[in-house]
Amino acid sequence: MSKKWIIKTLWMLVVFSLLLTACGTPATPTATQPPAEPPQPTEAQPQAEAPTSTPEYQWGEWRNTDPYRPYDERITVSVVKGGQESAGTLPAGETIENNRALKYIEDTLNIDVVFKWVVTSDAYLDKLNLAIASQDIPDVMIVDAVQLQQLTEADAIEDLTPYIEKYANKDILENYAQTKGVALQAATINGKIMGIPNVQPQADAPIMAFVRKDWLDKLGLQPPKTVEDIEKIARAFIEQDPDGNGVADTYGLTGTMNPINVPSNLHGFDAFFNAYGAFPELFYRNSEGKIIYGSVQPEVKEALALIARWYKEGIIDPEFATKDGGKSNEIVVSGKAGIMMGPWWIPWWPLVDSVTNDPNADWQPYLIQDKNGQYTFSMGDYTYSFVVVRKGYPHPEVALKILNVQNDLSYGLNNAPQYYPNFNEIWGLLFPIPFLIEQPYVVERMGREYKAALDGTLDPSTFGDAMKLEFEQIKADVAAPRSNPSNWATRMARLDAALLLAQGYNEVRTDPVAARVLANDPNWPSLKKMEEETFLQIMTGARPLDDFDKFVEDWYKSGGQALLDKMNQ
Amino acid sequence: MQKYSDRLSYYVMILPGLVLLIAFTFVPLFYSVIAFQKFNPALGIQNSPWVGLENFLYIFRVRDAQQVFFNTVFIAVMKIILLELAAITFALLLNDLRFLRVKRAVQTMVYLPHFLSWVILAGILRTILARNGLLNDFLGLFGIGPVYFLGRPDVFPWVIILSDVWKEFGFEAILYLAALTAIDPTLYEVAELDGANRFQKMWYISVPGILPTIVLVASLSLGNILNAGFDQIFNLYSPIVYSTGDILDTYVYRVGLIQGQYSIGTAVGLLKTVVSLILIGISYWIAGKFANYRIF
Repeated sequence: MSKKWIIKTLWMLVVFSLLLTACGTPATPTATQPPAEPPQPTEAQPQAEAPTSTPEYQWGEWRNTDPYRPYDERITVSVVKGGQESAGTLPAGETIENNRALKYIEDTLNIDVVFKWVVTSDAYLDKLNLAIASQDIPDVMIVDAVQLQQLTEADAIEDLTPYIEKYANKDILENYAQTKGVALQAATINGKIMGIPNVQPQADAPIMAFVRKDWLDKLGLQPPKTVEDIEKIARAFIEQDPDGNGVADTYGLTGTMNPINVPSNLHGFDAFFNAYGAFPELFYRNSEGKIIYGSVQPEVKEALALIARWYKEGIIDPEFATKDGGKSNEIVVSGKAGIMMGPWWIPWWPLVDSVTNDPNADWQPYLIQDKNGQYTFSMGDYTYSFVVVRKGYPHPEVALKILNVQNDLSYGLNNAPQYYPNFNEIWGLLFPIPFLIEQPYVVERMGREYKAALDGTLDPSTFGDAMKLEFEQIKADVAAPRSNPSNWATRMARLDAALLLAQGYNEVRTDPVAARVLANDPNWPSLKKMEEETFLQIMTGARPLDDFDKFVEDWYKSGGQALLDKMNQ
Repeated sequence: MQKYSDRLSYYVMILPGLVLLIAFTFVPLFYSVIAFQKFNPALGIQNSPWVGLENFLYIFRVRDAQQVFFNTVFIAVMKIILLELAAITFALLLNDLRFLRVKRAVQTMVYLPHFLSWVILAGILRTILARNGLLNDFLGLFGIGPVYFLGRPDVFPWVIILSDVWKEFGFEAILYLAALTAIDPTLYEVAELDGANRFQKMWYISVPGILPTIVLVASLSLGNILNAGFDQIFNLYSPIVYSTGDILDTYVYRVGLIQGQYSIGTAVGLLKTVVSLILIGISYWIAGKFANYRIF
């Protein structure tokens, strides 16, 4: 082997690697994408049964009304979907593209749902943005407020104004009415309803503490009422070895890199801020009727001081600021934590896995009160996403019709079949449009009804099919607690947590005017970034508490004041 | 004819790289025009309104951009300096090893990390740098820490810089080892006769011998001064270290793709490309002047 040959080879290697580096340099997001195949209508379905004569389904007169009437000829509608990574949780033999719920929707309306693409949850947003950018959108899709605006300006989506009243079923219309028109207002651009707005159950917002009662009892502690109680319990859970394995391996409080995030923040600290009278991330009206920003109010500083002290004393997971929700869920599921902050539905996910691993894990929900003994919580917007229909699609009303049938499946209305005992854990995978238009206060109402049925003051046979099924689960768990994790989760979420909320609480929410301004403000992302990093750094002690004052000053100066002025015009 | 077919094989070998280069670097370059538009993805490039330099003026106004620019240059420059120092030192030391087998084994081991992607390495690093991870356990022996390596804004850039040096120095050293083999061995023999010890030989023969290579590599890396390593930082950072760890590429990704401000993201990216182009020009001039390196 001559030396020359070696040097030559080495140089080739170097040149090659330089070339690779050059290729790897991301210049701009490429907008070229291979055109996806146009949806092929699958003709002549073998089991395309004649309407009303199928023994399988119990279709009634309602099927001949506008919101449900099947198409004379089978039509095709294309959709897109995230959540591929969870497809394994569906019952055996069922997939995202082929399951009984989807088939019921297709048969009821005589349509074919075609999935243009199915990706993992992580990739979904990027993929959707690319689809919009390459003008290759599906017939029906879910978008956010910014995208709704962009698509409207581009005249790429259908005006749905003529369809809502005619094709939405009465339940959905009633839910819109209960928001006092805010939901449809949020979807209205230049007087036209450009998307079908979602309605978030308001109970999703209050963050409550789920605490392991078995650990409390073991250490002789009382359930928490205040922030101070949480501190005491967390400290005990760390120091007194509640799982009894002789190793100091238990956490006090878990957290994530998004400690404040309204609504539905798993492992979030929002409730502690609320207890101090602070409502960060919300633009709400003060007593004089002017819109102010919650994150720059003096109460926030007090709450930050508390979190920073907790962090310093080791009460909070020392690595919370670099963890995402999944990582912190692992702590809870593996039985290393006894407190989890989250909305009422976390028994379904992830607490159900904790109970599966350890049937003794007796998680119970508690609301945290503020200094005056009141309950006041940051609330999310009623509406934050929209279903839109591609411009030129010949049947724009099909989106509403699908949502009607999905609604029936969710609540067991119109004899919609109830196939899945763990429906609440997998509905997002089953439905072609994973989208909820719920009664704003449905959770509280259902909780009260279940309680009444348990007490014998309400006849459970009046329940719809979905509620009947859930009521069976609740009864089973009341009789033998935690013998079946799915039953336990339904009972804890639907009954215990829902009843806590039904006791009533005060709400603070972002003003609809402010939400509109925010969605189109170029400075907002930059302000948000400044806030996120400042708060996290103060919480972890990387910056002194007094930097909060500087943050407030900077916030007003770098566009915050202008933002508020625009909102208060 | 022999000559031609000899060259042909090289052209064929270049081809795949060239195709990738055109598809992912040159073609997207044309789409940079959206930096001068108020780009609405649903309208496309033809129909989005033109806004002149508004996006660029916006970048200079927001405080994010200045911070991000500083972080990028700081991390990239530190990486270049420390990487070259480590690689040169390592090459010199390895060159003096007598046992060929040990030399080869060591060399293979240290350049192994170069072939792992940052997605995998980041996972490993997260475990090593965790509170109860290897490094903190080790520091604990000396009563230090635990240090929150990935969550402290003052520490984070150094984690990025040093882990990159660790990953790349073995591979980078190959260049210098090759340069060292090109030094005339009679020089060492003469020096030995004159009674020079190992360090004197290293300092007076090896270092001057590879000096042209050092100058060449250093000047060529000037073009990379705005490349602080997207894959690496993207897989290791979080909001708490934005102030010191957010670089141009991660910023473009977040603003452009996550927040949907395509025009702003592209404007930042285009700015980076222009500055890089100027730097590459300068570096080519320096390399030509001091290391006699010319492509054309």
